[in-house]
Amino acid sequence: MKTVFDRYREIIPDFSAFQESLRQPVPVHFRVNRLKIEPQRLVQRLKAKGVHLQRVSKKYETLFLAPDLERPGKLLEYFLGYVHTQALTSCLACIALCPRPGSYLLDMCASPGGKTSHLAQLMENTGLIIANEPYPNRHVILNHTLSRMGVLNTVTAAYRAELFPLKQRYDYILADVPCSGEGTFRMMSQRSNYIERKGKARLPELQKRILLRAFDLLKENGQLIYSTCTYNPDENESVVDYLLNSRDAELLSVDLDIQHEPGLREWEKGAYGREIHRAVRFYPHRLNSVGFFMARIGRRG
Amino acid sequence: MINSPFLQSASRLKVKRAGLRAFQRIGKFVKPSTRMIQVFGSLATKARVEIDEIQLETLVSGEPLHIELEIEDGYVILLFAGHILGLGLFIEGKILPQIPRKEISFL
Repeated sequence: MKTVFDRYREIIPDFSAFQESLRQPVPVHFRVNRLKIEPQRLVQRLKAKGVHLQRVSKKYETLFLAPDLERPGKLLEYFLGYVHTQALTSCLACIALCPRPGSYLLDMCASPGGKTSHLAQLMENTGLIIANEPYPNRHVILNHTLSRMGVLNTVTAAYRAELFPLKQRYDYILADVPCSGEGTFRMMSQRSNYIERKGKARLPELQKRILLRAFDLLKENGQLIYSTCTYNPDENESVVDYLLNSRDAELLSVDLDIQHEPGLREWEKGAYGREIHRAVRFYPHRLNSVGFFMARIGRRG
Repeated sequence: MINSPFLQSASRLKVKRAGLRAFQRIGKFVKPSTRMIQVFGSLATKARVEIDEIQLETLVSGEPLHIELEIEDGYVILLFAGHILGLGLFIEGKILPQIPRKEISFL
């Protein structure tokens, strides 16, 4: 299958396996909401209903693959907020950020709320999360997700992420920015008709502005995650490299028990700083999910 | 909304919504929200009604559930298989469904 991703032939390892994975539908992964139920109890409930679950890793006891489940949104457990359907790689951004209970966190582009509710879960519903979502029409789904999941420690706001007020600083920031979404190709029903989104060329500029603003909102010892669901280095390593050249920022290592690749050192005519290998890339043929990129960032020194 | 030392600084932002909506006014009544009851309903010591699958089907279809309860008229907490679903309104020997029926498609 010749796809728009042919331009990544030289940077994606085992490219033929990658291409083959794009033909397959993405399996159902979900996260157990520990704010409402313990994972073991949920597993037993679903097993009694004939729903078989597999842990994705020994390390992450709330993340599961449900290979035979086609419509998880139809489960009673979904209505009750016990589970949230979420791409595995999407969950990893929150795990990599690892916010402490009682901290102050900003989620810059929060809707539809899967990551926000995961962050609330990791913070045990303590501290405070500012769930910012610039588009008003996306607040409905954001609020619905947070309510269903029993999230109590969140305030929603509607600023443009790149202009978020510099009135205060945060312990943790998640900048899961708007992107071309190439990594979600497997989730698209009309994969054969895939076309690149209009306006893609303007995305890196917006992403750079959001990341700079995120960094400026960070406390002295704070940490932020920059993440996208795209393979495009112009939206990933280039953006992070821009921050490293513009601010006194430091790339921190990402410690995850899920197979990943390091950030790219170069792309087309550009080369990035040596630190960039600490960023991580996830590919669908390596972990049977959607493509993803993330970088963990702190203040130097 | 939980009490947090960060609420003071968050109040400097233009806030759209804070925490989980707990109640809403419906006419002259104040109704607890389904999601609030799902979180805090386990703390209730009365007005809890366990229903079976057939009774749940009745409520989800929008029909009242005729039932004998020795409690005053008002909101009751509906439990199914031990799990808190949401609320019903008990009036004159029947429970009127208050759960978001469109979201319940598992039957």
